[in-house]
Amino acid sequence: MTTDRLSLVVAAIDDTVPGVRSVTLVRPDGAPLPGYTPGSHVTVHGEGFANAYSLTGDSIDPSSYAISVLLVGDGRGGSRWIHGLVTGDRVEVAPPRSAFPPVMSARRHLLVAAGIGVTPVVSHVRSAARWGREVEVLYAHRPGRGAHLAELADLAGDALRCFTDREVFAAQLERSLAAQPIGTHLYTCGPAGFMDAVTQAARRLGWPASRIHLEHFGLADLDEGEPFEAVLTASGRTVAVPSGVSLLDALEAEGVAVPNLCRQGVCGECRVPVSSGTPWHRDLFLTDDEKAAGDTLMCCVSRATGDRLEIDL
Amino acid sequence: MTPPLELTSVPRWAVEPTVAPADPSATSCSAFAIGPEAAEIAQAWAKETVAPTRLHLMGDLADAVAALDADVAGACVGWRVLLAGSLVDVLRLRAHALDHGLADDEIAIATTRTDELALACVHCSTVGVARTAVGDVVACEGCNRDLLVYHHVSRRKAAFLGFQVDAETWEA
Repeated sequence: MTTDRLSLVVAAIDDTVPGVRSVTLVRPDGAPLPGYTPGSHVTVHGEGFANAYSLTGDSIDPSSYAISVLLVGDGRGGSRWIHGLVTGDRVEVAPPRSAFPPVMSARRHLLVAAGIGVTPVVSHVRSAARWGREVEVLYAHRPGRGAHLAELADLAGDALRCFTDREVFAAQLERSLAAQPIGTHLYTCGPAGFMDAVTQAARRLGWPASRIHLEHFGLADLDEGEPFEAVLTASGRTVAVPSGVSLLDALEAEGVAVPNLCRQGVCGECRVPVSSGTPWHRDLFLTDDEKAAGDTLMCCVSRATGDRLEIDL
Repeated sequence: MTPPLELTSVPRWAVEPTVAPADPSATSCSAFAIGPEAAEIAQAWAKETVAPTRLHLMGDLADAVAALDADVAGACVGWRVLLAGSLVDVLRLRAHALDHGLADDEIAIATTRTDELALACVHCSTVGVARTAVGDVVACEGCNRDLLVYHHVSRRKAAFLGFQVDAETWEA
């Protein structure tokens, strides 16, 4: 599989849902794009940012990639940039990556989304409809702000339930979680607090960890952290990491190249080996055991506990 | 040489009699025991669990499989199964549970004895039951080859992997 970026152009823009822009991207020559697993995302590389967005279109032999982006006024600029695109603009995209796939051995799929978190669920439901997989979809959104509603209703039919009232949603979530036949898997995507609430409800109702799957958008605003020194054991250099600057940014500023993609602790690309010092893990990628081992960290979000960290670079 | 067990597919309970604790987060459970010694373990489980627990004290594997099939039919996520019996029996009952789509973290296992195991011969496909242990050599029931009991147990076949111990040096 290639990791070269794809140079695409904006073929269509849909601003029907307030605050949400759906963008269709194609190759300039119209050639097919790499297929992907439902629930996959692409990383859009714009001016000064790289953001991951779930693909909402057909995952098999696609001729276009479709993403839907919520305008976040105080975000890192990615959504504003996308909301400023016009048809014909060029967009650099890293090929699809799968971090939220349907479990193929599942007997049934319970998909629970909030707000713009519905995007990976759209491709799950599309694939489920194609292959006849049994789904139930619960979608919570603000009145008038639901994305992909007509498409979901078309694909899921009666299996889709939409909610604009928190309490009504919470009550149905409890009922649905309590009544899934054994073999069902749960998938949830939305704001961190929403996914926490869904996960907690599931755990309270006896769901084992192996049946619960989350799609993280990225982390909420992180603490700026204390300054520390990164000692690069292979090159013998020392890099100062000031408060408010990520280790990855500090390394890059010193000309140390580290492979990276999402820069928000999700993708796992920027993992670096640690030989001494205690990492302060803030990513969503490493397992609890890997974090406890302390011999590796994701340098885009994680820092040092203490004033020094030795890295094998 | 056998590597540390945790690096293999062989669970600890497959090499020494072990009783796993019941998962306290369950909303309902079924405990299946095969044989009298296993029955005591299942009864202790039923006392340990807070969630309603169906107790199935069975005399043989076939009855336990039938009881599992019946309970699976109406089960919802939140359900856990607890399987107690000899290594040969619980491996087979576990294979059946996995086939129903149960996950590893929904299955608790207790072994009453581990001195006999099912061994699948890679040469003739016979699955025999032998009094042996991982790393030992035993004759295949089907083809009489001397099989090394390898440190791999199939979840689906419920049997350890056996292959001819001197396969590399044997001359036909």
